[in-house]
Order: sequence, then C-alpha cells, then structure tokens
Amino acid sequence: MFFPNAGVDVNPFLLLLLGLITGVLGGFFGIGGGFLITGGLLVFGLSPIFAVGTSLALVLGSSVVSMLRHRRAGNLDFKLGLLLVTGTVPALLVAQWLAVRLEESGSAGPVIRYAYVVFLAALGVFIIHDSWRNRHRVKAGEDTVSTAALIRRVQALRIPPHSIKVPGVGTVRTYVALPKSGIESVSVFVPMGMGVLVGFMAGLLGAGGGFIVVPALIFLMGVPTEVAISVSLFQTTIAASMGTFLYSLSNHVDLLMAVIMLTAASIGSRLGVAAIRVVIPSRVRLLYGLTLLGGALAVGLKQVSSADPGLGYLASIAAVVLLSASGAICVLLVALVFLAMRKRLGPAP
Amino acid sequence: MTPVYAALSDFLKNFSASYPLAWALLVIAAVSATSLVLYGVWELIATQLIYRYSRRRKASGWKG
Repeated sequence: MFFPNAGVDVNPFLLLLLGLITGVLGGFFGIGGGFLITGGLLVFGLSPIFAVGTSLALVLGSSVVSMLRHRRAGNLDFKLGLLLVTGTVPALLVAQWLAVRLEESGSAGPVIRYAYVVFLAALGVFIIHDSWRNRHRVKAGEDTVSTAALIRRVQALRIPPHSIKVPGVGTVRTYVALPKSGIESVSVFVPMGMGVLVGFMAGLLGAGGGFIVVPALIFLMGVPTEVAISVSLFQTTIAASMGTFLYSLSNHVDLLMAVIMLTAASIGSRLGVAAIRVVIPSRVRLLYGLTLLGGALAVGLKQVSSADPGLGYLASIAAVVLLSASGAICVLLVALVFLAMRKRLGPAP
Repeated sequence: MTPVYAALSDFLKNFSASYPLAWALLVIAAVSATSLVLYGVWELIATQLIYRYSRRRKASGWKG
C-alpha cells in the first residue's frame, strides 16, 4: 500500500502489528513507546523525520485510548496529572531547544545519546533489583518498594510559600491531598518540581518522558503503580499532542499510516490495561525494568552502528531485538489476560 | 490504485503542502476523533461479548 505523505510502500499488516504491540505496551506500562514505533517505521523504509512525526501521532492516539481505559478503571489521578504537566511541558520545550543547540555544537550530541543508554540501563537495573529485593514481601501479599524512607521524606517536604493570594479567590494553600494516589498532603511544588526534572531529562535525552515519569512517581512519591501508569499516559497525551502539531506543521506526519496503526493500537491498549488488573504491581515493575533494559540494548546498538558505517547492520539487529522483545512481552500479557478471563468466567459449558 | 484512494492520496498530499496550519489542526483532530471513536467501538464490542458469554454460561447451569 502506498502512503502519499511519507512517499513509501508499506504492507498494512505490518503496520497493524506494530500498532498492536505499541497499544499493549502503552496500556500496560504507561509509556508512549515512541522509541519502538520510530525503530519499526525506520525498518519499514520511512525517513527518520517522518518516522518520528508519524510515531508521535500514533503515540497521541494510543495514549488517549489507554488513558480513557485507565480513567474508566478508576486509576487516573487527574489532579496529580495536571500538577505534573505544569512542570513537564515548559521544561520539555526548553530542554529540546537546548538539545538541538548542543547537537549543532557537535561534541555534545554523542555524549547525550550515550548518557541516554546508560540512564535507561541504570533505571532498568534499579527496578529489577528493587523487585528482587522485595520478592519475599510480595509473596506475603505486600506491595512495597525499597525507597519507602525517601518517599516519606519527599511527601513531608514543606516548601515555601505555604500559601498564595489569588485575586478574587483569596488565600490558597500550596498543599493538596491526592486521595487516589494515597497521599494525604503534599506540597504542589513536589509534583511540579518532579515534572520539571522529568521534562528536562526527557527533552535532553530526546524522549517523551513516559519511561521516567512512571518510576519517578512510584519510587519518589509513593504513587501506586497503576495510578502512576495512568498519570504518565496523561502526561504523554499532552506532550505527544504538542509534538504531533509541530511535526504536522512542517508536513512530516503520514496521517493515513497513523490512523491504520491506531486501529490496532486501540485493541492493544484495551488488552494492556486489562493485563494491569491481572498482573500484580511488583511483577508489572519487573517487566517494566526488563523492557527498559531491552530498550537500552537496542538504543546502544543503534548508537554504535551510527558511529561507524561498517557497523550499519547493528541498527537492523537493534530494531529486530526491540520488536522481538516487545512482541514476546505482548504475547505473554495477552495470554495472562485470556487465562484470567477463563478463570473468572469458569470452564466452558 | 482505486479512484477513491487516488483522490484521497491527492488530497492528503496537496492539502498538507498548501495549508500547513490547517493540516496540523486536521491531523490532531483526525487522530483524536479516531481514538475516541475506536475507544467507544471496542468498549461496546467487549461489553457485549462479555455479557453474552456470561449469559450463555448461566443458561447452561453454571453457578459462577
């Protein structure tokens, strides 16, 4: 099938498969999956700029569907999402501008890309280590993380000003209760500051930020895993809509391709969100850590291949590794959902 | 290539090149609207399937 905007011929079944995988992972982990879609579209023959633009459009659609599902399941903490976005969006824009300038300067570009790989791998190792350390408590039915002391300190932070005067409203306290996230009182500057940090890191590393938001909310603020995932999707929706708009303005989005992938991604999102109810939170985190490690390996291979023209085949290996690992996780999650449904509904008559 | 697909291709290519701002808004609107419609459709289908499946089981005497 020929796609007029991107100017390439792509088999629509491959696009549907890529959309399905993205949807499942997005619904389950709360990540946009931009790195996965971009890699896949590059393999299908799109130019890098069209691959990024089209992947942003799919991330937007897919995260909207997943977010609505999470909202229906009662996981979305809208208040926390808004506070986070207030910090993330401006920081993302500033950091992206800075990243382009650093890239133009020459030397900083490769450093940033390798820092991305190291950061992704370190985050993956930390999450896997945390799940392993707490495995005995998980067996006893507790859901705990190893940063409990840090979480208590972060939640107890008192940051001035403690109240602000809003014209027409009066004095408003700068502390909020986030009952859905299990937080009695926290300074609004904590999630906003976290948003700035996440947005800046994500923008500098050239990502949407979903993969940083989820661990940051779980391990720094003590937000339950399923709520952190839905808040991350909310943040991803806002960031992806901005990105899609900017890439569309420069005519680097293939709308037809995005809509085809979105058809499958919407089914995948449903399955991904359903899997959240079946898999216990600590296992969700373990799979998340493994996905980050797979992502680090793929991005690392791609960086090495771009440094030396003779190692160009590593980029293809990276895409195959990423798609195979994601596909395997999707098959596992879909199997878990169907097994759980059979168990709940009982044996066939 | 069917005539409808050829016309659609022409429209997408020309419109995106001629009216960047309108095109950007169209992309955002089309993706958002498609997401909402698909969400509604799959939600409806899934609800119906689960409802019919459990009704069939109850009719067959299963006490679940």
